[in-house]
Amino acid sequence: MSAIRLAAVALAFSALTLEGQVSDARLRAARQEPSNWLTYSGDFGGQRYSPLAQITPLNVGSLRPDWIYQATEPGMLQTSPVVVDGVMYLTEFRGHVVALDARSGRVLWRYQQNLPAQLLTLGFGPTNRGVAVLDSTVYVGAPDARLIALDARSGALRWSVPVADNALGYAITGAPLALGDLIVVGVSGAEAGIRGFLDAYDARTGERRWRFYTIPAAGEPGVDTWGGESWKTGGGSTWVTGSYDPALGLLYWGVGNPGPLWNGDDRPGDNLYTCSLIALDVKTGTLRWHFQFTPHDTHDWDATEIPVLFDGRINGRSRHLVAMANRNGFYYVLDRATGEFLSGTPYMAQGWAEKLDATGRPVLRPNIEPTAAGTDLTPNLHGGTNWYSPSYSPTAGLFYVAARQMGSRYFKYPVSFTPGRYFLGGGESEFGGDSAQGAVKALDPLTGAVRWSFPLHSPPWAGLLSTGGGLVFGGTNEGVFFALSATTGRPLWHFQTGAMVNANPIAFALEGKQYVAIAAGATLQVFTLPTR
Amino acid sequence: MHPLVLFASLALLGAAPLAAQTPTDTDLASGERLFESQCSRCHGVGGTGGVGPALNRPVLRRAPTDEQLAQVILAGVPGTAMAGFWNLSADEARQVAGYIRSLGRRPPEVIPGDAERGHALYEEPGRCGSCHILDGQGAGWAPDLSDVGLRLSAAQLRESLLDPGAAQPISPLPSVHGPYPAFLAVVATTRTGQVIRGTRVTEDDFTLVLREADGRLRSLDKSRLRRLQKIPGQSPMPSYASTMSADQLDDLIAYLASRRGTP
Repeated sequence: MSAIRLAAVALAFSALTLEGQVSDARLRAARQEPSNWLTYSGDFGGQRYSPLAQITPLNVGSLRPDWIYQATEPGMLQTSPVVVDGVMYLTEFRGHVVALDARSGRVLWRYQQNLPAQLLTLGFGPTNRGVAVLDSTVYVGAPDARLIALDARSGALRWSVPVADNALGYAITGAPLALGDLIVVGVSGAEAGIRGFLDAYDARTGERRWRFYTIPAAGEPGVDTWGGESWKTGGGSTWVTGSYDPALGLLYWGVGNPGPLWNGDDRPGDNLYTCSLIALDVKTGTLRWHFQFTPHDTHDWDATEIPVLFDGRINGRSRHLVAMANRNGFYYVLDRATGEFLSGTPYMAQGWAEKLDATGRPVLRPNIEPTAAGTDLTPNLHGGTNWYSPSYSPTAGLFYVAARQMGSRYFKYPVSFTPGRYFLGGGESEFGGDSAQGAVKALDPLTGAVRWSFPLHSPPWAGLLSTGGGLVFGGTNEGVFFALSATTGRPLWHFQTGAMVNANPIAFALEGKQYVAIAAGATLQVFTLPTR
Repeated sequence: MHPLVLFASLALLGAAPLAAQTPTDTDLASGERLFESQCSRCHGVGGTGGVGPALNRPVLRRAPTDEQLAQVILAGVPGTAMAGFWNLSADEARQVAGYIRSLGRRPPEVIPGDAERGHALYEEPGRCGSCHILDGQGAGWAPDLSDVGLRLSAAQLRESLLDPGAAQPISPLPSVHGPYPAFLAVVATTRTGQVIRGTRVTEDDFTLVLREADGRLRSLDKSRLRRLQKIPGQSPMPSYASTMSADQLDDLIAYLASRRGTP
């Protein structure tokens, strides 16, 4: 390379890494630059769709691994990488952050979390699902419930603020969401009887700008859905990254299970806003509307799935919609401006609800409550799907969900609250082995009708990516990363990664060449077509 | 309480020596409840095994004493899926340990057979050793019988010999966790009409590896099969109900019950 070209490249590089590299304007228009993957779900709408169309049903058969990153920290990666202008940011187990050269997988910098010896991660372990990037800063939640800001160029610490007290069971496992000048971050910990909330922090200073408690306190609307003082230990974690509609100024976030999980005797009522989707005014953090999928949950069916935003015509009327394939086994479509229930359809076999009524409230079947002797019910606590991402393809006009089909025996027992301890009141024993299965299902996004289904050997733990090339990528417990036709579900390519896939795929491009990436075991694997 | 102080006191609780006590009925009931909610997902209801090993045995390899068992519950087993349940108090861990011990407590068995004659039967050519391994000798793809006397009661040994399909061991597949039958019978028909029989070794959405009757492994591409049949409740092991006399069965059971591994 000539000295002049080298200088030009250096200049271009320094221009890219100036303050404000990833502006809010870029995040809003993320779909316009498909070579990057700028947020957890790839865009604010939570669609996990890449317009990249170089890899197609015709050539995907020759897709091959290009590079593999081996994590330093032992432990399964659940990370969804962010790619910005040729740099990939991902998290390892325990929330360590790594910046990689997206071309080669070489490490550019690493931020090692400094965690207490006695870390409390009751019910989920010190996993981490990724970062947010805004301007020239990378944001990550730490398992001990801190929010950390790092310089995107060096990994140097800008600030670290406590979000909540880890000794009470609060932790952070989800990727933060950057928007405007805010960093929005949720918490885990309902298994320890926390009182859940969603927080927004000033991106520059780390100062908290608002907090929305997912469990109303005495005197607040909704507290009457909790018996006695039970709201104080009501759970309602916010552990999976939500979505955002900049035009409406609304943030959509799923809320987890109530505490205690399996024994609802001491919390009579609907237990708002657990197992609900909440829509918050992004400026103030105040509640605009809510929709509760599973009132008074006793089966651990968190509503912490990705809310997917798209528009469509329902009954001749154009609507701004939000859809969620919920852990309780139903696929819901709501008006995202008002929260109005439009439809709800089971996308897998379920045994707990007769139907949903006109308002979307479930009509319960008898004898579904956990008991001392055990109650058999489908789905099991992991639900019809879980935290891993669905995908929506605007080109195929389909909503894709990796569905789980597994039953369980639910138990209930007496429970008392001790801060920082499990607050469960029961448990379950799942029906595994050959009786449990999975499927990638393509749903009509407006009605939830199943258009095609690709069966999986065991209930999956990996998310989906759809692409402009007409493909759906997904992964299996048995370690296979695969591509299906987005329109028919026909399998077109698969690769044995060597470890369980427990993460979401993404796509990006470098100099016009498309790549697809997925975490498997403690590796991040990147695929592309052979160079002709 | 300051978080650091809380951590310190919890750590002390976890490390405190656990006095050996005879569990009361209340302890056992409480231990059972904790076990069903937090252990049975891997170890099966009643400790019958699943993803994790069966715990309804008189001797547990990693936890020979009650104190060691409680420590395994609290601290976990490094390098395995067994995480430490340090959320439990020392008392709760003792209750769970007591319950687990009760699962493996069996009244002393009267085994009428003659172990020496059973040994001779075992060693007959074409018998057990053509599939099983015992103290390093044998074919080795059927379950290792070196410590089978610790794992199975005489009644369970008898069931295995008379109705092996009903007494299938459950284990994870090498490809995925979960309670799968360890020897699922499979009949695969290729597109050309060839029929391949065997037991499943491992499986994913695109491939299946089976073991044929002679022990050989065979890898199949599912997309090239016309039909794939799975037959639960069948075992590659023959029943000895009609080929052994009652005395021979007693002798073989006495021999197997005496196989307790090398210390």
